[in-house]
Amino acid sequence: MNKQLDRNVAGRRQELIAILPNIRRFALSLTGSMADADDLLQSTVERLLNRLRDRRWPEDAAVLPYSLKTCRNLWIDEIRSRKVRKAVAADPALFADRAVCGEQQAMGELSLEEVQAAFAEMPAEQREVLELVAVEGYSYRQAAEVLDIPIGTVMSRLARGRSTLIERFKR
Amino acid sequence: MSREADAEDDAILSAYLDRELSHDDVARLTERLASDPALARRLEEMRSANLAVRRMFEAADELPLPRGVLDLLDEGDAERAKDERVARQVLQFPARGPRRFLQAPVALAASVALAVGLLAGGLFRGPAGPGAELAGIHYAGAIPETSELHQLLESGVSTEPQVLEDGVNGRLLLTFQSERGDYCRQLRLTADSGSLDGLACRRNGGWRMEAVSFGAAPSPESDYQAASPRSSPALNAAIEAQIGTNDPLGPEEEARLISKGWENSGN
Repeated sequence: MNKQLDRNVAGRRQELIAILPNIRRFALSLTGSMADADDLLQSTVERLLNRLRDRRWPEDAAVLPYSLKTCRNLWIDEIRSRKVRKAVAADPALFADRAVCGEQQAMGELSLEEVQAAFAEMPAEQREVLELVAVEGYSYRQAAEVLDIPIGTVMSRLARGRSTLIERFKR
Repeated sequence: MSREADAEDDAILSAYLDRELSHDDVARLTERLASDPALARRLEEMRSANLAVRRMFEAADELPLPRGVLDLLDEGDAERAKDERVARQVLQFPARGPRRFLQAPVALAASVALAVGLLAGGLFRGPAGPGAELAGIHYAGAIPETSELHQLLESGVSTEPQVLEDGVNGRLLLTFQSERGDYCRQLRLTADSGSLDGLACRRNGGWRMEAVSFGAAPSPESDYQAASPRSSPALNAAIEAQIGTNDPLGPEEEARLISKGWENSGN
């Protein structure tokens, strides 16, 4: 029994390592800023590791959705206690050092910085659902489960989020 | 157009983009799009916005993971020994394809580099910044051109072991053309503390890690270099999937390709 548990713990740790970028992307959608996203990622990983060590990880909880929910709960706590820095509207350094790649242009004449600024200005509830569906590829039902909201709400927030972005891009 | 109708249309277009519309609704929408240019324009605007967001996240993914997180996950020798029991697995890099609820480990390069680093005692610890890592692999498997790993893949000759930085031995085991038409190479990296078997393919002038399998360190008694290479069954399966009915390249063909910079049929 212990061996099985050990294997589960080790396996989950491995999975956690593998999904760090998923959690970070989701954290970016929650916070709107890369710096805050990295902080949130750190807190999330700390909490998940503690739960793993204390064997408080629910037996049937798959690693990725559980990690995303944990991340989101942490962020909600942080918002409530106002620990979060004010989100940076646009972080020019974010994309300054990345490898040059000609095709990595946002659509039309928008730079990545402009897209990031527009994205950061969206309401968080629209950002998070847009990231899960458009970037992670979750279905509406799966996104609804992670965010603990009705599917209809997923649908309307997505539509509003995209509409918000379009209007912002047009400015 | 009333505001309610706009919002309703946006919801339909949005669901259409996400492939969440029923068959009937798709048919109805397609008809409308054909006769309503404003609606069609709106759809394109939504599609553009979608793509812009995805590109933004892809760019964000290329940034290195924060050091603090990497340190959290590195628990030292005791954990590494435990990790080795679960280490024998292939992490495959998924192409942007059908959506699925991710239950199994998702292979993402930063995490692979991290995992390998943990197992291999800090060998490939990265991404640590430009030029810092030996075999840094960016997210989505792209191997930076400045890395020794790129050099090894680009001009290494199969079966000739090469010593890379930090006492890492690199060895190419196999070169073949995949069913897609691009060239792929199986490589093995070994060090005192661990080994990595990988399958990398060349596209648009760059190498991309397609699958990785890492294993525990070879035991001190065995002469790892002399032993005939046996890659993990799971990595072999990944190779099988790519190679299809093609044969591996012989030494002459391989040498020719390397000398021509892998130019053959526009790869």
